[in-house]
Amino acid sequence: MATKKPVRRVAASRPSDTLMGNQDLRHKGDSTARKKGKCVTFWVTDEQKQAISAYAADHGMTVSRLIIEGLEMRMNRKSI
Amino acid sequence: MIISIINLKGGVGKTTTAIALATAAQRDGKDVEVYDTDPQSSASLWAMSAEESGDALPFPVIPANIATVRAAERKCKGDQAKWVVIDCPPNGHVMDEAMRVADMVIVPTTTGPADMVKAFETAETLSSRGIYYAILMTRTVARTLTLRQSLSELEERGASYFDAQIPNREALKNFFGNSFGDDLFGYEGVYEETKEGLEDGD
Repeated sequence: MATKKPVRRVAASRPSDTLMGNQDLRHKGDSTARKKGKCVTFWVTDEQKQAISAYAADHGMTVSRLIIEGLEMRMNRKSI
Repeated sequence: MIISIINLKGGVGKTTTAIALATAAQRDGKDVEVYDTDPQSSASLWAMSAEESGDALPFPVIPANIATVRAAERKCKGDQAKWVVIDCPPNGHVMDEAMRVADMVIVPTTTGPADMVKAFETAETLSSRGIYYAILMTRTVARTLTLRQSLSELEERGASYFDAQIPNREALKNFFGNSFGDDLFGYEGVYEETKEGLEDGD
């Protein structure tokens, strides 16, 4: 196998006005990593909304969590 | 005078440069302090270790932050007799503050492409802000293609850089935690160029 000769690359990106502006700080540091999600919107009736909200409040959870858990339970069942 | 040692890349010799340059300045009769703004506290550890072994550094090394860097600006910016050498971390807002207050910024870098990329980014930001700076080549190995390439890259980019270089020497690494002897491993030249540059700038 032939020896590969490296090509030296020292191209700097566009400079920032501040030194810290040159550092990539997105998703760095000690922040809690959060999975990137998608926003899903759907319609329910007023009655359904009231019922979902009341159930979530009774069980100490958010409406979003209730819906996600409900969907996961449904999809994980072999038959329903 | 405030001399800030900055590179956006770590491990390029910033702390060694700060301690060696401060030593050269102190030997030339300057009233010198080193400000350690790096959370890794390497300069402070260097000083503490030297003191504990009975070989104390001939100047104080002071843990510093944005507030004390600003205070240094009021106390000694532009003062030829009093030098504050600021050893910076490779990130954090204290680095920007050290850049802002500096009479001169020294940007140490090895000849490695990863270090050079960050040195050029640092230099271009300094240049765009009109801040007096010079890149310092550290751990150089004479008569190598890498060194020649690095020097021609500095020329091509019109970067400001020291004629003096710090050759790669194992002995230099072992001076951590000790005061320097007669040999400053090339930092004598760095000090002379720094001093001349600051005097010319008056």
